[in-house]
Amino acid sequence: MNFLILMPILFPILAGLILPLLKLGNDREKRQKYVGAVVSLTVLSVSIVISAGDLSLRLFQVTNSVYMLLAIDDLSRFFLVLIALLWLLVTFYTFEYIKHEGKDVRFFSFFLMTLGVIMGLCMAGNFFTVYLFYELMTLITYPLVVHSETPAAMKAGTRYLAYSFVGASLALIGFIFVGHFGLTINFTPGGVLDPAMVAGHDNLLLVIFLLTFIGFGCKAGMWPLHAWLPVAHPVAPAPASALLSGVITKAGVLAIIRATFYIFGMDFIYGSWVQITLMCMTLLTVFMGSMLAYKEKLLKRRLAYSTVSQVSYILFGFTILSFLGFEGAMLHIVFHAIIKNILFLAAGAVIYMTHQTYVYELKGVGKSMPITMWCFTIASVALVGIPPTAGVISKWSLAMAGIMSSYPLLGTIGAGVLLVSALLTAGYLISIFANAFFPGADFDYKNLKNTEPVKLMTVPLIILSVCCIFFGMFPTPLMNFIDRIAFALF
Amino acid sequence: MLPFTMTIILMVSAAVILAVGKNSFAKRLTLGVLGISFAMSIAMIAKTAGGGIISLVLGNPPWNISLSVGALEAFMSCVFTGIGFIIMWASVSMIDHDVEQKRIPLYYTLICILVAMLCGIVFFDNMFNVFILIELGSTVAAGIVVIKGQPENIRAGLKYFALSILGSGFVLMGLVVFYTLTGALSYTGIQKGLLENFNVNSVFYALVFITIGVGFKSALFPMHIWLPDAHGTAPSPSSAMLSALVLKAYVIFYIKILFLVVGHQAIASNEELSMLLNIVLILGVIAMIAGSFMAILQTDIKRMIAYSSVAQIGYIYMGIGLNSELGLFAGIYHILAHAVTKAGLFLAAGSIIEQTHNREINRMGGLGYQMPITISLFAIGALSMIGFPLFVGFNSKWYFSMAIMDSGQFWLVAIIALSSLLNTVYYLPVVVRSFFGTEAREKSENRVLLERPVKDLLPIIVLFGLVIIFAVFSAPIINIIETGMANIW
Repeated sequence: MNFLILMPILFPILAGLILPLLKLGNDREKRQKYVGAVVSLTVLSVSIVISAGDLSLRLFQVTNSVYMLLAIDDLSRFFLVLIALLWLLVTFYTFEYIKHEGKDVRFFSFFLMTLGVIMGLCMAGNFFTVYLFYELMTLITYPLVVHSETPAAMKAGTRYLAYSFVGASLALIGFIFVGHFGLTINFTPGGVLDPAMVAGHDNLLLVIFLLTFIGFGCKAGMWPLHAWLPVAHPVAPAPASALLSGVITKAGVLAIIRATFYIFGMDFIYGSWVQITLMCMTLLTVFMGSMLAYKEKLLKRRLAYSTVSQVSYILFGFTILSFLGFEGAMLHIVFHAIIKNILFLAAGAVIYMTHQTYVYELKGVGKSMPITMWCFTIASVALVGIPPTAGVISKWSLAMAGIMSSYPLLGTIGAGVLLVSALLTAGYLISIFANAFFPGADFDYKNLKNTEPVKLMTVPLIILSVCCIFFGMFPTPLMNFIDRIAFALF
Repeated sequence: MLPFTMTIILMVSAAVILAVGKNSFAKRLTLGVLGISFAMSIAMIAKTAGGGIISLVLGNPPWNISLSVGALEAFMSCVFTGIGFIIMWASVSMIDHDVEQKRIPLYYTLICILVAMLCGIVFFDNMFNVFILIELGSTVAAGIVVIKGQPENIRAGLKYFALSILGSGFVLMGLVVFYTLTGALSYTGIQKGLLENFNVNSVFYALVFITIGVGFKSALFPMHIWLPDAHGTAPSPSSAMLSALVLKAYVIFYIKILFLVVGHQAIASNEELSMLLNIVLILGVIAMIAGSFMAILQTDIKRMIAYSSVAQIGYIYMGIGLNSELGLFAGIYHILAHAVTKAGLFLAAGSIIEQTHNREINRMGGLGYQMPITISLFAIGALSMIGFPLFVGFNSKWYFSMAIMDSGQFWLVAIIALSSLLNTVYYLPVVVRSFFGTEAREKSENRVLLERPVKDLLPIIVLFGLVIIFAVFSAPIINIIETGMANIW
């Protein structure tokens, strides 16, 4: 039974590897059927794996203490379901979008492999496995970033690699210290550090934790290793940007959750200077990201800056180290993933149909592409945090957690930063859809054509938007599940 | 008898190859004899895996012939003959491009002597024997560099030869000090002699001489200056032999002098000796960083790989310099890790140069569409050198890190991280540029396949297969190294 756990990893990776060898040639339809089938079957295998109990599988004894461990717990289930479902929706959207990018064999090949790698990251049961999949993810997503192979894309890709490898090196330093100071490298709620060995080295290990956090924070776009994100996400094809921003940043978040709550342990960090430092760093990123997004004129880059800001909302929630903060952060993981996917896919649809990339060029798009822009609007409203959409619940929890944290002053400032950032979010998103729907009196209504994209692109958008509202109104089942994870930790 | 017979067989075949003088015969006999030697090495491992020692003494000490082979020596013999076999297998199709037809029997003669000498250096217990082999090795190793016959080869070979002889001189001085101090010439004999008469000053000078001598021969920074020229210009199979195997034999000799003859406790308890090991550690660290920086500056792919060897040798010396059991273990493991990876990288680079007649990294854009298998193999080697998990390079990086953590010198972890980042800086662009970018786009549209036939690529594929197999099934290797170290530590 335990071998089932390999399915969601190996199946898409192998399918991706053999795709270029299949000689599907120019037969786009066959290729799409193949990719669609693979992703659907992966989702199916995920549903089998998550319902088959706490599976675990040990592979590859690399050294005496280091081996690969895949294991399923509630946190893995949470990420597996979220990512697999989003991937499925984006896949269908991609079928249409990729027509305008070309080289789709290579794109889909790496697209499938990325899915396998990220599934592996979700199911990682120890630090080594996380590190392995984290590094793999950098390599496998690189072709998605540089897909267009323009000089700008290549430059962005190099920057992406540079930041990712620096981040991974920091995480490796953390891994090495855990290998020495830990009782095991397997994830254990409450942490694995050996108190007898740590005694006397507390400060050193806190520094190491900080480095690990920053290292994994690279993928999550946290300051100071955030600068690749606003460059790399926009150059990728829209479906890839959506996944990079919506899903792959969450892989960084997952690694941080594992390191914080399952390796170093909450008790070790709680109340230390590192906690304060990290809270300040995440808040800085939240504020900086929204400011830069507000100033940015290129639509996709504006969304990328918004990701920088929003993912640090999530990280801020975790650094509070309280039940409420954890709950808010986990909720925001789901909501931001959904919302950012809508925003990038809608932006992609606009670019695909109109070839307009700057925000001021989008005047009146709402008239010609109503469905797309309505979805965009719903997502924007949700990201700002206006009821009844999803964002409000997570943002409320995060702000409350900040105020009620063990550092009331910093927490309250934090809540203030979140509020200001929400206002900025409103500023940079509402202007877009306001312009799109109310182009002003001088707008030329006569030449208006319906440029709505085909159903393959709009249906995923609609489904995601419905989810966005649905979770805003009925968050209880999701919250119950998050509470189940949190109870094991707090 | 087994190790002695093996050495003799290799030597005899060398003579036979030269006497017969036919190219195809030379290739076949070399492969055959290396294969037999590998089988014999495996038999030696089987005999010594339980901790036993195969020994042979001819004549009376100190001036005699004596061998002593434990698990470590048998393991090294496996590395030399096994990887040597694969490199020679690859050379069958590559050597004709680099070496004139009439010199090919000579080439394989030199190779057989070289492998005999490498195995001899680790087998022989008598330093007098070892020294003769080291001297012989200097000549033969320079020989497989100059055999290509280009002016730059001859220049590089002479430089290598001169510095290698200089190194031998230093080694000899060190051995003389040990001999006058103890009157013995075997490792165990000197060890016993030192127990009775431990003169710190003499031992210190002996070790300084040997460190410098071995440093020259195994390219420890800053005594590496000959390496990039020699390894960079030599025929690719020679580069692979020199980088993967030849450097390592001297390291094993050094390890035995340090830890078998002098002993880690004696080193730790004497200030001067531990200072010497600290210097070795620092030189290793500098080599790790400086070697990588110099590799970044290279435009010639083989010189880049050669400088990477300087950095990797630095890792091994860092492990030795820690003066700890774990550090030594990591060093020995890295000997294997570096041997398989670097041999593969040199052969892959050689294939690229052979097919495209281009050594410049800048002009390799889009090569992935012309030589997809070779570049993919190169990528495996690059990732292993970078220390990517599930490749053998990661394992040794992990062992080094654990050894560092154990010794309490935590700052070295930062060096390890920095060094692997620097490795990324020069290895990854080669792979990335082969598959992505404007040139790649052009070349993917007008595809010209330049790939060598799979039959010729097979040895390289096997090497990179080992890079992964050694990483994920490392338990037997760990056991053998640990058993072997018990005789030394």
